[in-house]
Amino acid sequence: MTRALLTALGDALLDERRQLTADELAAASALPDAEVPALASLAHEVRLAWCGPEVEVEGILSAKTGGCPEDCHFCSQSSQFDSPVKATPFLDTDEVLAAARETAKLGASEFCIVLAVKGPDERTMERILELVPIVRDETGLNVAVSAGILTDDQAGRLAGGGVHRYNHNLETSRSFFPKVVTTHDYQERLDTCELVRKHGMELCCGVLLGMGESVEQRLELLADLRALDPDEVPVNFLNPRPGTPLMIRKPLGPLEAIRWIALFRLALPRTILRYAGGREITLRELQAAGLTSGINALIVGNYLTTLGRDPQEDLQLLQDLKMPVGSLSKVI
Amino acid sequence: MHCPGCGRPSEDCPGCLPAFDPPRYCADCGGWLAVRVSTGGWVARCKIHGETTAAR
Ligand code: SF4
Ligand SMILES: [Zn+2]
Ligand SMILES: [Zn+2]
Repeated sequence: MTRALLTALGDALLDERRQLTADELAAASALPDAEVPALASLAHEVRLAWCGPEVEVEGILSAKTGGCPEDCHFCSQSSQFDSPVKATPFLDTDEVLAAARETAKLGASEFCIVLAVKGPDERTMERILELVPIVRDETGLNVAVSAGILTDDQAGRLAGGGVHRYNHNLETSRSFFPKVVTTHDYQERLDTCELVRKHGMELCCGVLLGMGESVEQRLELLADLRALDPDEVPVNFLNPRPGTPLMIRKPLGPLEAIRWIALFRLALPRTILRYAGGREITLRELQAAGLTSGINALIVGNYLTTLGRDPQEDLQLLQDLKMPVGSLSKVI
Repeated sequence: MHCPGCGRPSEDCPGCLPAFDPPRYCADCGGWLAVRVSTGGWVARCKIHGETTAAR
């Protein structure tokens, strides 16, 4: 039965080159743990067939940290929780540029400027629009931005200002969302994603697994993502943050994480699937396994407020796996 | 000395900083640090003791 299912999934994605149905994905999600390596191996084949061997490398920077009025229960930057992360104002241009240069030196092609805000106010918009061409021209990096919920006008201005890709995460499914965010709703997130699309920026729409959502809710999230069809999906795993309501949750187990990376690849065969926050504590020694389970992009080095692995370890890993570093973007 | 995770004196907290976190409080005075994290490192600034940096 299990073998037959894996064969059928492979036929669909590799021979027929069609997307899986919701039922097929649900069946794959129920495979026993012992079959996760086989599922991962299929996902790797699918990634190579649909996306090729290249891996996109990105660095990210929190350019305005903490003090966010929203209450995302996983986030150390919400002003509603007693978090040890101190709020700091917008970094100077020189500081942002220095961080972008650090990223460029590693051979990355992408740099994402991230702001802890509900959405950008006019001053923030002006700062972003000032920074983006400077960073792009000085470093040659594609510049992405993550600044929360946008209006139609703001999305248009960011696209016109050279923002190559905009990040706005769904994080979780519509049915689970109210359990982790109460200050804005799922629809507002979807609306911003649509605006990003409408104005011709690439859409980066990430998830955060391990907040207590069920298997069904992860499948529901996958269905929503498939409908949105983002260019990129960063896969974050919960890193329980001191002071936040989700600090008591245990990180996902490594095998479960690999299972879901593989399922994301099978559900989104042509999407850039990026290793993101929480992978160090979740996968521990299994970092290579994600890259052979469907991942084809990664954030190197540190995250917004937490630290990552030594970038050289990841770059060596890519070399060992014979995965060349390259940009997967469609529009450069 | 103070715990870099919560700022309490070391006698009261032997260390609660998670493995992949930069310091949040000054080890010398327990003051709250303004931390800037970037791809290749971090800079933590204490109002009294100035900046500490790390390559990662
Ligand atoms: S909107 Fe972003 S910065 Fe603000 S609390 Fe939510 S995740 Fe954190
Ligand atoms: Zn402590
Ligand atoms: Zn101090």
